[in-house]
Amino acid sequence: MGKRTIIPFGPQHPVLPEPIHLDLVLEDETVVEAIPSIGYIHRGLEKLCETKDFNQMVYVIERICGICSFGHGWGAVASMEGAMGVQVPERAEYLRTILHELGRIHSHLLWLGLLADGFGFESLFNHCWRIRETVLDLFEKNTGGRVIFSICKVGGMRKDISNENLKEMQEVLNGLKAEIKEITDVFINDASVQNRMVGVGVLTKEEAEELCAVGPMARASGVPQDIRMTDNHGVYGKLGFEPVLEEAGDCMARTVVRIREVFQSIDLISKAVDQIPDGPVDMKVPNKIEGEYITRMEQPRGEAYYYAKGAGTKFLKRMRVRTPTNMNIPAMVKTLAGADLADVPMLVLTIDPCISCTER
Amino acid sequence: MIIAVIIIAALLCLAVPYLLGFFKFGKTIIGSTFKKPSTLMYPVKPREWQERTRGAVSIVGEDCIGCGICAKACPTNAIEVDKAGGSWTIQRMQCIQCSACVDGCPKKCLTMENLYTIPDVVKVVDTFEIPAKAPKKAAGEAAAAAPADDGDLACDKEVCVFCGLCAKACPVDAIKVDRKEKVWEVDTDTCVKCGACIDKCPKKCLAFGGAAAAAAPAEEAKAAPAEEAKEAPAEEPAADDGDLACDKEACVFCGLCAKECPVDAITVDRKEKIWEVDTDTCVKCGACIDKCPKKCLSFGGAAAEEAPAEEAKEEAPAKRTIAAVDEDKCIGCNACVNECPSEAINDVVDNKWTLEEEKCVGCGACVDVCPTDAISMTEVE
Repeated sequence: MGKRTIIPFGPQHPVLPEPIHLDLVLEDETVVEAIPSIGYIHRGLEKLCETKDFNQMVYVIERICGICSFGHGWGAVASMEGAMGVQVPERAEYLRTILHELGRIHSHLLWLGLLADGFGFESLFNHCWRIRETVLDLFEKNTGGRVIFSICKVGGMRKDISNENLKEMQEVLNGLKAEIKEITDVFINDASVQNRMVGVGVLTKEEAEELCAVGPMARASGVPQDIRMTDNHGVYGKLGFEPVLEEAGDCMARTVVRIREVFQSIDLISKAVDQIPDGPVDMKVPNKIEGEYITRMEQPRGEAYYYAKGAGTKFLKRMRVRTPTNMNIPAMVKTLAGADLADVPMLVLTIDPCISCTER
Repeated sequence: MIIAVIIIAALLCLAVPYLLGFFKFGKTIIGSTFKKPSTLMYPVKPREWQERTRGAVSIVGEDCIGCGICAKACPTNAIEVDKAGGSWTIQRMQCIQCSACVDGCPKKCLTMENLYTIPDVVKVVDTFEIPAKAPKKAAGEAAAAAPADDGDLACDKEVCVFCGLCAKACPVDAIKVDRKEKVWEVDTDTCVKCGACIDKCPKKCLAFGGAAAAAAPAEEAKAAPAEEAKEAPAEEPAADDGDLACDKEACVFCGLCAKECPVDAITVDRKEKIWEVDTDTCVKCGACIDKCPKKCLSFGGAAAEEAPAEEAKEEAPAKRTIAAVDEDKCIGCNACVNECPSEAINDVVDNKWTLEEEKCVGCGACVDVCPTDAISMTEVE
């Protein structure tokens, strides 16, 4: 048994530009234990939600995260709509689903780039982000924002997206498939990538279930856990959604799950664009919120949870958001124990951590 | 020797697929060599904006009424509106480009420009000029601004004429006024306390605060049927088309409009057959139009009606219309007596309804009020 050393990892740019701190207890080159600590960027957004009109809060909640901003906006308005007991028009639900899936493509491509950056494959990183740029342009054209969309509101959407624009989106995305395949094949087949990821940080199905892993982290271990399978989340029920599953539970499996989800999202958008009904996208809602409601959303990173409680006025009494990274940290710590020091960046990255989400 | 070559060849054969595993990216690299760069020489080559791109908020200063709804809608408190001082200020670095202010603006003087806020090393604060309120009002404005947040909007119902101007001015439709039922209600949850109604009120009966004093009458008002309260907004559309005008051919110069006017803008002389409106004083509340028994008043078309009015003076005496009663139906309620603008109807005594024909102007107001439809208009020479 070698001498134990503690290496502080983070909070300044630990593989990704977000502040998480890990105390890595090492024996020689092997991590014995990892002690995580967060709390560097708590912004008090939940409390902020109680100080302003609920209509204004949507724009603040979206800023919980710059990557899954649409999902956060949707989750928040869905919980408020639930508390009011209103059902938004079907077209609005379709548009939300389409934009949410588009957000997933953009999030996963961003993550693939960060992963390539993490193991030092810079040109692959640049190619991933080049493709992501097309998706961001689609967002800008249809919503007005590149990463913060501000198009969701309580009662529907602020703007309709014309059927022509949706068709164009469908064409652009189907055209992107070949490009994405070319890049993602490198992740799956390239020997240098395989050397870094295959068999690294295995999380078994039992461990994933026990540690309550969510999202791609759980699905890579073979746990069929996806909120999109439930009926009351968007229109996924009408699109015939099946979760993407991998069995290996290592870093490569988590990458493959996300790559397959990119293609799945393109297919879901295609189907939704074909099915979308005409009609209003907005409805009048009461100007007060009473009661409480819980919404669960499948964000690109996993299951997120939103709780809204109204005070009987236009202010919320309580807004609670629990984000997927929060749930994946125990699983990450589990995979870190016994890993090589050189593999730590990969293991931290493959849970797709979003620390600003986690701390809000 | 031969064995060595065979071993090397075998090793190479084994290594080639392995080595090829390193070159999965080769095709992409070679392809990229011959492609144009994906990046743009920004800012030398400017970016193309989309129609919906939310860049920076801009304001058309002269259209702004200083209602302050944008400031209240802003989730980050980036906007400040100084109505008395005539300025509209935005903290560019605090603005999150959500365009909530643009959506809320009742005058549509705010727009979202495509161009992003220009980067800077200091926190930029942009101030725009907006029309300050007239000097005589400014003093009152400053005084009104101070207690603005002290309480809910309240109406002094003793002074109120229920003209409904406040409801029309309200950018968030928080006020409901029913002229007939004398109902004035405010939805304090919707009210943004912009003060637009206070500015508009001709009788100056609205104020923020004093909520406790006004609360009791407000509760009474709420007891009135809600459906009827909604009638007032329905009369809006024609309101802003032009100045108040009278069709002098139809007008009988009864003077009911002058009585109803909350700001005393109308002068009517029955004998001289003069109908005049002071358009500067007129607040276009529409109360006179609702009251007019001959429906000869309207907004707009003022110029067209000037000429026929001259002719009407000569023709009018030729034939006249006066009220007549069906004595079987009359119940002697005296409703018509109270309503008659020219005091032509005498008090009903012993079910005997009498009219001073010279005084009757034929306005028909009595016909409208009669509960038993006993009165009708008849033509006499």
